[in-house]
Amino acid sequence: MTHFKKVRKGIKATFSPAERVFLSDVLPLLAEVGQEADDPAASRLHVPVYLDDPEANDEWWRLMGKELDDARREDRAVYRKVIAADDGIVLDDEQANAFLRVLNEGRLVLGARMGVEVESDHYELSEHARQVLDYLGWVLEELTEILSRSL
Amino acid sequence: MGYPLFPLRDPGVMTRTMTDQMAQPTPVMYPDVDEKQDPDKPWLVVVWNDPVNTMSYVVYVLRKLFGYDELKATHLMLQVHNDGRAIVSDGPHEQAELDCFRLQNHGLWSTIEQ
Repeated sequence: MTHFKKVRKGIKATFSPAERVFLSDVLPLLAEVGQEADDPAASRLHVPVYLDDPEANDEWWRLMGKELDDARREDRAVYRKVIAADDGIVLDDEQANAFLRVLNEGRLVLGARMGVEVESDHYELSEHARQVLDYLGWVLEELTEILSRSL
Repeated sequence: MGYPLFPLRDPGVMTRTMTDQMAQPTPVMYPDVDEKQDPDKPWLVVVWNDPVNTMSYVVYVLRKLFGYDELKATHLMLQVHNDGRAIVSDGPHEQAELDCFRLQNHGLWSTIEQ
């Protein structure tokens, strides 16, 4: 089955009840990033922008960090609406991209927490961990493919 | 979603100086230039390899943000994948910082250098 279909007014996203429950778990996962000390997911979402200039890096994050947090928060609000829709929902281009970014952010957070640092680490994951990453990746790939068609 | 407005450097530095000193002899003004920066060199935005982002997602983001065709975006993605990093855009400092923000917002590991 495919979760996304191009329709006249945008892209229709439809998920089964079980998938919506599963996808809803991404939101608390993202909300708790950085609440624990030494959270690898927090490091992944706040990477240094200037590698050889800590002062410039601090300045960038001081000025841009809130903007980035706000943007991510707006994306998650769209994501929440999508997974709350029990009969599918039609997304415009910006909403579809917001949903895509949250899916990707969820994978980044999971990957960081699972200790995926190089490609081959995927093969070291437990079966369950790999299935979670792969499922989100599958949905992400579907939406990426349909969005790419309209570029 | 609104992207932040630039420049990042505080534009009020020049304004305050000029206003506050109107009644005094005009001092020589030197531009507020970071010694580490070379104004003649473009700023480079670099995307780094990441074991979680999918290849097609990276290609899509590069096409969407920079308007690259599929061939160029794929070439850059493969450069990131094979070499560990690729320069995806260059230009003035403010543009590089904005590009970096947009890439970070899409979850791509991006940095700025000169």
